[in-house]
Amino acid sequence: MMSTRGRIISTMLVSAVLMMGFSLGAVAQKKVVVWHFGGLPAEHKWVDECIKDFNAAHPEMKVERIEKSWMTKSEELISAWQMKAMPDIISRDSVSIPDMVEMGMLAPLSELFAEDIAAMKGRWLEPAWNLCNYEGAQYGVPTYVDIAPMLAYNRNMFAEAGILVPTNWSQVVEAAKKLYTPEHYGIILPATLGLNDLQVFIGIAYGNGGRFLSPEGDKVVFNGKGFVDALQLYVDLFRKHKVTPPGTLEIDYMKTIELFLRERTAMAVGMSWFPIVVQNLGVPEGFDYRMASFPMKEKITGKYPAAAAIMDATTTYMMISTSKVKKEAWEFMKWVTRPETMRMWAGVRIEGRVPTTHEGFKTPEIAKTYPDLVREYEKGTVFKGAISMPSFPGFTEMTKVFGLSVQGALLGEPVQEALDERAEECQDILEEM
Amino acid sequence: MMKDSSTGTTRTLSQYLYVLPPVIVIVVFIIIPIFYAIDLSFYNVHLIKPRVKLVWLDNYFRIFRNKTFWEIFYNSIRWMGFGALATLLIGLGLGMFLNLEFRFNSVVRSLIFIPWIMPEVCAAFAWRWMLNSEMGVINEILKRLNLISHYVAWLAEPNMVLYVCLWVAVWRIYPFISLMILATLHGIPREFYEAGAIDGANFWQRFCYLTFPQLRYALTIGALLTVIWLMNSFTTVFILTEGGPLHYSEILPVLIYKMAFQSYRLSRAAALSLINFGILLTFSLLYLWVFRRQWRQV
Repeated sequence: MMSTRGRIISTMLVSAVLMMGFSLGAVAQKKVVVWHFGGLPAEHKWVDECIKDFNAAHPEMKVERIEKSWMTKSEELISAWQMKAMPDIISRDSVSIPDMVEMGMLAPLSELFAEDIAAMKGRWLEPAWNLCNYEGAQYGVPTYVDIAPMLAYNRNMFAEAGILVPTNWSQVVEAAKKLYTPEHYGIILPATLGLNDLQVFIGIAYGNGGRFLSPEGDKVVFNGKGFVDALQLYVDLFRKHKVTPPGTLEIDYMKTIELFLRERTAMAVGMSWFPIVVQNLGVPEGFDYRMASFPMKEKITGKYPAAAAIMDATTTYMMISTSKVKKEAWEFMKWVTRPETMRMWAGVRIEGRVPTTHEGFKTPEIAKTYPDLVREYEKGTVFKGAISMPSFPGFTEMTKVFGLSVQGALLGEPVQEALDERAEECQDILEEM
Repeated sequence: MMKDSSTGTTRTLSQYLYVLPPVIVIVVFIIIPIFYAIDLSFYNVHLIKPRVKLVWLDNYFRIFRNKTFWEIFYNSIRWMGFGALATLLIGLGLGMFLNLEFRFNSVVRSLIFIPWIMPEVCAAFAWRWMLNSEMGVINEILKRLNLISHYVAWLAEPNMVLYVCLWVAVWRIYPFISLMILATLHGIPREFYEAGAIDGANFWQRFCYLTFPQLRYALTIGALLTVIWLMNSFTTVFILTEGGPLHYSEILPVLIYKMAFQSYRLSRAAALSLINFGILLTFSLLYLWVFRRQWRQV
């Protein structure tokens, strides 16, 4: 018969052995941390399901996803990088790849996993795949792309006013003037300094043959005619015709969509994620709207070829260079971008993201949401004429300076002067890079 | 004698041990970062192209040569000046009002203190929604009362935006000042006012010759504290407008943040933060000098 003391000691020994066993198991299990910036609740839920399946299929690993705010993505990553407290994988926009590569933050996937990359890239449409390529190396795997600029219009208001969807800038102005009433605006153009708002404007300018940098990448050229006329369009709608809200400079893309859903505007400018946000906010009963590409100017005035659209792979999975579990992280990246998971971005769960893979363009859901894009895919011309949103080292800083020219012009500065002043400032930044 | 000396040493040692933890915290979290920032400001650390070079005072020269910096500096001066004035006036008025005896006085005091205890982030977001030009409740109420014919862009109108943000910052601070004034008023002997009433002094004369002289010290402390708090108001401005439109509502703390986290220029941000620190230090030393009376009593 064991004494009480003996029972206590043996219980403690057994507990210690069990705890050691669990700890060893935990140590043997490799943890992969994913920081997921932005996205919608339905997308987060899908990715969590994907992670659950991955963890079940790979007991030697454990993937943990942490949601992070889209609005503070740069600040969080910079702080974490300085404190050497980075995750293993991040998902964020492809336009930020050059900045992050220059900081040494990202791992070059095409060098670390050359065979896998070569095998998988055929599933992606080349223009989308190349959005994550910088100086010859692949740094990310894109899931979907966002395209700008897009025009959302209220079909009921258009029908009541008896006007057709505009097909050029003059028609946009005329339609906005006819659709303006005391109850609703003609059009809303988001004009804060937020990246999304500026990308929409840049898309309109690129469609007019404007460019942010020269093709060689050594000169800032956003003060060219392509951008000047695009900014003049904004200024005319806001200051001359007064068909946009007086608070345009504080209305960002989210508030634009909210006002559109409240029927406070007949038209709204945005990107291809418009339906996604609308779906998230909920469509009021009887509300009928459509999306179209924002029309181009009657005659292109910019120096460069007109871009049909500009694109950004907004949720791109990237690996951090300091990750100690690169192989395991790569296994997860392959899992989360396999065909079964990529179907989410092809309209299966979320309506409105533009897919990046061939299989994504073949789902019936995408055919319903983007019939025009599917037709173009079948013709082999999807993304034709579309180029990447501006993406180069220093772009984050330059966008903020560029945004001041848009706001300055809307507040009364002459358009050419506003762009010239900030182009000079951006040229100094570019030369520093 | 030896026993007295060792007791004295032990007491001194234990006194030092008690103050050691806060001293360590101040050294680690305040002193060392200040010296690090000074050192950083003499280099050209840029996160995108990390080629670190000693540039001595180049960052400061670039800052002082920049037109935008002076616009933002001017915003900061107006922010501090008008903010302190508004806070003191409102705090004084409210403090005197709360000093009156009326029913539910304690309830009103509690309600007035709500802005002070509300987290700054929550307050800023709530005001941002209320001030929204298209969906905000303030425009809706004013329109229904026929006080405005069109919605006002409170946070997008260049001439107004700084003062609107300032109002939100002042709204948070004035309860504390009113409480300070109230506490001081309670300390004024009633006999003063009785004597004044006997001498035939009216309300204004009583305020100028009896009340105000007693409040000077509290008002001075309140003004200095308000200036220091306002100079640190990053959260309110950043959430309301991020310093926009253009730079019309931007103040130094917001500029420092943008320089570090949006332009990635850590050295220049360090230089800006030291300029801001210099201004704050001036007011802090002034506060200590005014407060020296209390120190002497201790």
